Amino acid sequence: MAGGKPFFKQNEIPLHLMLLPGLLLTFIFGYLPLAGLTVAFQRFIPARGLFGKQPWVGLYNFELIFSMPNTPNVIRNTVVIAFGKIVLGLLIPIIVTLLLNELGSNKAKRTIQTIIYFPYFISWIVFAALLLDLLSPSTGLVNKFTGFFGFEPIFFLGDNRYFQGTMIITDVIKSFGYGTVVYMAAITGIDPNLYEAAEIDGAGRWRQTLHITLPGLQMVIVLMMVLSLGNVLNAGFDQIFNMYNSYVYETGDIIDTMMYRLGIVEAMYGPSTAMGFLKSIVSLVFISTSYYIAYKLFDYRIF
Amino acid sequence: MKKSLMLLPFFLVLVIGTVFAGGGQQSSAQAVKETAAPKLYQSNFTPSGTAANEYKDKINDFTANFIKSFTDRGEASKITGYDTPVKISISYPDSAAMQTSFAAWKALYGESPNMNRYLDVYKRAFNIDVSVKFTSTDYDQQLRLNMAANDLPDIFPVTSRNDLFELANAGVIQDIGGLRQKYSSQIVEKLWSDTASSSPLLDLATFDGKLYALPQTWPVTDPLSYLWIRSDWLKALNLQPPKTMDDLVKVIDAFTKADFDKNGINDTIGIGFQKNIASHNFRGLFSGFYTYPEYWINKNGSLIWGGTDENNKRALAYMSDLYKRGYIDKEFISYNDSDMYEAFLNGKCGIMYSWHGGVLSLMDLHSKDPKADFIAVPLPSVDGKTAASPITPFTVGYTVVNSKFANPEIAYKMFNLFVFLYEGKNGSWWGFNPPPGGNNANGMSAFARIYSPWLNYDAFESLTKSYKANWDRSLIDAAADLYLGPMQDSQTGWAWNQMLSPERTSTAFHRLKEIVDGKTYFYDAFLGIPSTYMQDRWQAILTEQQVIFTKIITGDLDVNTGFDSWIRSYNSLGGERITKEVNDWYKGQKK
Repeated sequence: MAGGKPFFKQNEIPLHLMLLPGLLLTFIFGYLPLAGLTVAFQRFIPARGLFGKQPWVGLYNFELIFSMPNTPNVIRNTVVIAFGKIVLGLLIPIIVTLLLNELGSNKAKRTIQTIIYFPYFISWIVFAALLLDLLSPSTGLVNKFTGFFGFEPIFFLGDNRYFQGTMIITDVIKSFGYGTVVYMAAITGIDPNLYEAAEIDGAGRWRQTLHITLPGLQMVIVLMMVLSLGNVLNAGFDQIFNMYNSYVYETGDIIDTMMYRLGIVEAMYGPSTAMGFLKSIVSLVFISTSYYIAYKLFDYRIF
Repeated sequence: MKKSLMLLPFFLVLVIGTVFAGGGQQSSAQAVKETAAPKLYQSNFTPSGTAANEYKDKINDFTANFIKSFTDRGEASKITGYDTPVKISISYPDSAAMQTSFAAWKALYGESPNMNRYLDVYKRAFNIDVSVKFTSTDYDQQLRLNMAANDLPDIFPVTSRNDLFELANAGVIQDIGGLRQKYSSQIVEKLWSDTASSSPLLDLATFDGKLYALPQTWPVTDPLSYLWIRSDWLKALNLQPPKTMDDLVKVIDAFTKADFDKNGINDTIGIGFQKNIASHNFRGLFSGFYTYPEYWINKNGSLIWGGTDENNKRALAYMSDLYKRGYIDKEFISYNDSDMYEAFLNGKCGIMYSWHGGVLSLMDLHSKDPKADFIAVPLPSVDGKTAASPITPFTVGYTVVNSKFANPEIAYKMFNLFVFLYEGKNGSWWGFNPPPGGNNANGMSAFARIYSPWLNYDAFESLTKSYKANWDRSLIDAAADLYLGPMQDSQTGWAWNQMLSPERTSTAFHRLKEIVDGKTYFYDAFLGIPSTYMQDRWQAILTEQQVIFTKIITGDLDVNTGFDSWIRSYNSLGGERITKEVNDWYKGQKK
């Protein structure tokens, strides 16, 4: 406000008012709960109230979670599963989009797109139930099919060798349709004149894809990547919670499921909050870095 | 304009603050004086619905007998009312079954969660207006939220002992031990002292010599695990029920080879298991090897955690062998109870360890295969002798009184009234009588209820007596009446008869009676309050045990090396210090 510059331009006020509900919700759900982070440093006793006299325990809760036998696994699983999902979740939709783009018939293109988009709308609880049936080693379709070729049945959800891969692939199956819709939209935005010019210059389909389509998609790809890196420590609570069991804790337990069990099931609020706090800090570092890289390499900025 | 907009954040904080602060109001803390002698009051609830007259009959029966019953015992002062109405807020756990029940009771009597037979009768007896502060299907979590917001009802149940301890520690609930002498009636005291020699039930609710809650007992025999076997399959193969663990393997083997579903595929599962090892589903098998991995046991004068007992190795080796030979479903590690029952319902499995209600989950089998028939046989053991079964002093909850509530004696009075109703001639209507798919009627008084710890045993005795006297109805007591209804029902009769009919010879309740009469049961040895050290680590230890035991069964880990690594984890996760703490407590008890 220094220098007599008005705080708002008169005609901007309605716009600012429209922004208000969103800001308000962010404040209530995003900033107010930050006060609860104090629980990470307390031995929290609900009976004494959220802001009551709780005993402070310093870093005890952090020490406790790191003394738990599965914590190193949990952190590794989270990163592995999340990275797998980010990488495949970027690659598969791009490849499928490029392939779809080569299809001549518009009708076929739309039909396929609708079909692969559909699982995105099914909730994980339903999709997980379907998968439990499909992936069963004794009665599941997948193992019946591979058994047809003489393979031994694989217990995808009960074998530590296969669990992480199963999580990554099923997640990609569920969500890659969404990615293709975004990339398809970006492709329609590319100037058709470029293709015509390339054709005249003698470029085939492959050259056109490499030198026109992909560069045309570049900004969207970077955008999707930066957005997905924000989820680097979200390995997918809904999915894993509905599909794991104590036998695959070693490879399947992630930060979110561990937090859930600690906080909601076992009522250990301090350690659970400490875990969440840790996750937030690591996520912050990851997001900042990825944003910085995107800015340096592709000159990409959100603001 | 400018300034007013800048004030907005402050305004928001104000609004939110008021909303948060508004929740914490409490009812007035002024004690209401009780009358000198008990008397009855008017209630403004009028039953409506198809069975309103039945409701009136039961209430009339109550008004005719209530005061007389207590006066005859010289306990009139324990049920006195209040001339000025007392307002009480309560809370209790809800469930889908409870909602089904309320839909049925609404049609029959016009009852609802906010006005029903119990709230009606508490009003008539004591002139108290009970209002429901909250009910929840996730009751423990909801209660902890209310605890944190300091917004608790006047009288409410707590289901976990840790919560009870924390409430007491925070001074939010009051010591009601001083009122026990004056207000607790003989019929309630009898139930509390019935469980075992040293009445551990009240001990469970006592901290630092102060009684903070009225324990809600439940049948102590519920944790017993039985071996259920398809008797029609046994007969078809001309086999005897197994007496030793080796016999059991032979029966399992014969069942899997017999291909009873005649589909020509070798797909019969030997014995049914689900994933949770700390359950009825494994308890009986471990008992057969004299090992109890879910309990603290007394070994050579000191307490050890049952999971660390060397005997577990024999049980685990046994199961590992069953798994290797293909008698256990490879998918059991991801199974819930209902997944496990699937094989039974499809006629692909005929043996399981389960509690007495296990067979009730198999009701649909009867329509698919009318010949199907289950018996509960005595637990086989490794040497053919009788294996002892572990049980816990069982409470479904603790009724506690808010420190701010000025008439704490009302909790005792509610218990007195509840037991009077349940032991009276309409006990079944007041306490049980579930509509199809619904919960028992005592759920309406879940904030103040108590049953005999030997309910199952007593009911079976009563039914047996009645059966021997040609089903003489007069010998059926309230507890037995609960079971008689579903036994005679055409839909549920098949399973319920297999659970407890005295006409049969090998039901779960026959086994239950053997165990109780022969005293081949023992209580969990540790009833102390877990230290914070133990609370913080115990769950991780239990999870580790579950994981390692499962891996030993599936052969991922060798029995000896696997068990050794479990013992190492147990100690490094804090088990060593916890065992020491538990033994310190135990030594303190012996004095």
